[in-house]
Amino acid sequence: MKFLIKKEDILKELQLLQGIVEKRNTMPILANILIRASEEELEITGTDLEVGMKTHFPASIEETGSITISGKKVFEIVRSLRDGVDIKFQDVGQSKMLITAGASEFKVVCLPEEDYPQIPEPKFEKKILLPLEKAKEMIDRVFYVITQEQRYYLNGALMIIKEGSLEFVSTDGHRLAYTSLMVENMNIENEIRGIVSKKTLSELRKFDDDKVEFDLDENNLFFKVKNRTIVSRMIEGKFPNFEAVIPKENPNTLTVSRDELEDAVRRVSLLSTERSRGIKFNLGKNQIMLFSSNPEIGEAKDQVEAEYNGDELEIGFNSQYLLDFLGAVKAEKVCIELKDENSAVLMRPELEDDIKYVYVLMPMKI
Amino acid sequence: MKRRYIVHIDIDAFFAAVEELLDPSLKGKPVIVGGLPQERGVASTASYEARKYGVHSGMSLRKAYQLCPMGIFIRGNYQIYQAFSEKFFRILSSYTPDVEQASLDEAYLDLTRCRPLYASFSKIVRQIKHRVEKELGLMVSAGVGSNKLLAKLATNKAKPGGLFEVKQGEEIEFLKTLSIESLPGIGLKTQAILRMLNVHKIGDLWGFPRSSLRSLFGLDGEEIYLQSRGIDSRPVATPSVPKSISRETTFLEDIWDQRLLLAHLAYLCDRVALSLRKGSFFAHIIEVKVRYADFRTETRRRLLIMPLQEMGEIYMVARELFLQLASSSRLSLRLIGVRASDLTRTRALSLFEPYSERKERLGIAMDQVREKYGFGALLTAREKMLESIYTFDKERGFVLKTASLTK
Repeated sequence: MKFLIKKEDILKELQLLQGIVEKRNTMPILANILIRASEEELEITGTDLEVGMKTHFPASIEETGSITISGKKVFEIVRSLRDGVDIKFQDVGQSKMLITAGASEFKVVCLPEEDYPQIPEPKFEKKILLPLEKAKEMIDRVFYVITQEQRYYLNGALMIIKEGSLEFVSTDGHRLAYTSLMVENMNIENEIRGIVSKKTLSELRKFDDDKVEFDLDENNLFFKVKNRTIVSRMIEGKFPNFEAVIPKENPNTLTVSRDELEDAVRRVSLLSTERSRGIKFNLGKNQIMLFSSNPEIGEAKDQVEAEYNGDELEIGFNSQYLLDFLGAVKAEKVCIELKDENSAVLMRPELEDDIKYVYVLMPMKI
Repeated sequence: MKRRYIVHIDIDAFFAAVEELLDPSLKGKPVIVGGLPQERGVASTASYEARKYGVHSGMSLRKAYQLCPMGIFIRGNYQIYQAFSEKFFRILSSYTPDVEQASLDEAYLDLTRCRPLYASFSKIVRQIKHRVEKELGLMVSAGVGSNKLLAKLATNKAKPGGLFEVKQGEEIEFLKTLSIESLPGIGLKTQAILRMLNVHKIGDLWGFPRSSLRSLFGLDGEEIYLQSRGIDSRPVATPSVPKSISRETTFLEDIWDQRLLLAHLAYLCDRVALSLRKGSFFAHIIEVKVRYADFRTETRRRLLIMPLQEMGEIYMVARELFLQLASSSRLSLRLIGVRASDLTRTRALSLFEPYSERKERLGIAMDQVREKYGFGALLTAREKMLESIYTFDKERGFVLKTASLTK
C-alpha cells in the first residue's frame, strides 16, 4: 500500500475518528484504525465495537492494500506536520508503515487487516432523510440528561421516527427531556424506535450538512452524512414508558424570565450541599423565593419575580438539574407547571419554536 | 490560645461491670469478658478483681485462664454494651456538643465553649460523673486537664471510680513522677531503650533536648518531647457524618433454612432502617453480605435511583440480592449482614417509581411506638421467627451474637 495525500485532506477525518477509537485498553486492536487503499479512493474505519465510523475520500494511490495502525499516533503525526504539505504513506513490510513529509519521517508499527473486527454494512435502501441541523439542535436538548453512571440503566436517547415527526427522549430516572420536530415526506411505513448511544449522538453533533441519511437493521442504526457513515449498535433494553410520566394537567403554572431564574438558581446553589445540590422554591403570588442551606457552610436565599397565581407551594429541586434545562433552552421566558411537592414538574419554553421541547423533573425532598 | 477545659471520662471495666449489673452474684468475683477459656480470642475486659491476678484486656483467653483459673469467663453481650454506651453518650451530649467518642466506654468532652453555661467547671464535672453513675449504675473515672493528654493521664490517676483535675500551674508537678509508659507515644520498644538510659519517670525525659529525642526515635521523638511537657494540641473530634450504616450477625450455628436466613435479614434491615431514620439519612446503595460455612465471603450491592430509608423497601432490595447470592451456592451460612451506604439527607424522587409519604410516616410512627414501649414492641411476622433461636428482650429486640457496632 502506498498513497500520497495533502495534510488538510486527511486531518479532519483522522480527528473525527479520535472520538470513535477505543481509549480504554481492553482490546489493543480497537485503538487502531483500518486504512484501505483501493484504485479510486481511501477508506478509513474506526470502531470500539459499539460505535463505528467509516469515511472515504480521494487520494493519489500508487499501490492498493490495507493495514491497521494506531489511530491516535497517525492523528498526532499528521497534525504535527506543516500545513499544506503532501504526506506519503507506505507499507514497508514487517508490519511497519512509513509516513514521510519533507524531511520528517516516521515508521509506525502496524497490525494486519485480518485481526480487525468486521463492521456491519448498511444498505441505505429506505431512503430516510432527516434534517441534520435540526436533529443536532434536538440532540443538544436531550444530551445532558444521559448519564454514564452505573446507577442509571440508560446510556442513550430514544429516537422515534414516524411519518410526520422525529422525536428524541432521554431520562436518568429523575428527569426526562423530550423533543419533537415535524418532518414531512419521510416515507415511513412503520414507526421506528431505537436507543441511540450517547457516543453516537456526540459524534453526530460534529457533522455538518443539510441532511443525514438513516437506516437500520436488527441490531444497528446507521447514519450517513456525505462521505462518512456511523454504525451504532442499538442499545438493548426497554426504554421506560415515558409518555406516562409526562404530566398532562398540572394545575399551577408559573412563567418566569429564563435569565433571571438561571442567575438566581446559580447564586443560591452555591451554598447547597455538594452531594445533592438541593435547593428549595417557595412559590407565592407572582414570586419565587429560593433557599438553600448546608450545615457545614451556611445558607442562601434569593427572590425572582414571576407570573404566578397558583397554590402556595414549597418544593425542592436538584439545582444542577434546573441549570441543565435553563442552559439548554433558548426562549426568553420559561413555563413551569406544578402539582405538589411530591409530583413531577413540567418545564418548557413559553413560546415554542419548530422544535417542541419538554423537560420533566422530579422534585427532591429536602 | 485560650486555656481549654477538657474532660476525659471512662467507664471502669465496662463489659465486666455491665455483666455484674445484670447478674449481681458476679460482684466481687474475677470476671473476664471475651470468651470461654478454651476458645480462641482475647479478653476484652477484666474486672478489677481479675486484674489483681494480672489479667488485662487484650490478653489471650488461654493466658488469662492460666493466671486466673477461678475466673468467671463470659462470652459477652455486645448489643447490651452498645445500648449502655448509647445511653452514656446521650447523657454526655446533654452537657456539651463537643463530645468525642474515643471508644464505646470512653469519651473526651470539651467544655471550653460552654463557659457561659456553667458557673463552675469542677462542679459540673462532678455532676456529670454522678449522673452517669446513677443512671447507668456503672462506676466511671474522670480526669480534667487543659488538653486531651493531661485529661487522660488524670483519669488514669483517678481510677477506679475517682475524679482528678490537673489544675493550671500544676502540670509539671503532676507529670514529673508519672512513669514513662503512661505516655501514649511510648511503646514497649521505646520504653526499653529509655530504661537503658536510666529514664523511668516523665521528669527524667526533660533533660533530653528535642534533637536528641529526634535522633533516637525519629518523629516519635518529637511527639515524646511534647507529650513529656504536657503539650497536646489535638482537638476534641466531634463525630462526622457516617459513610455507611451496617448491621451483621454471626449465627450461633450455621443456618441452611432460607426462611430463617430471610428472617435474620429482615431483622437486620429493620435495625439499619432505624439508624438511617435516627440520623435522617437516605441510602443510595444497599449491600448484602454472606459468609458461607467454608468462610468464603460474598457481597452483592444495588445502586438505587431513589435513595431509601424505609425498612420494607430496604428489605425488598436486600432480599433480592440475597436470593441472587443464595442461588449460586448450596452451602449453609455462618454470617449475614446488610449495609446502607452513599448516604444523603435529601431524597431525590424517581420518575418511574411511585412515591408516597405514607411509608415515611409509618417509619416515624414505628419509632414513636418503639421509643415508648421498646424496640421489641413492634416486629414483623418474619422477624418473629427469630424467637425460636434468640432471647427476646422487649427493650432491645432479639439478642443476636456479635451484632456489628460499626457505623
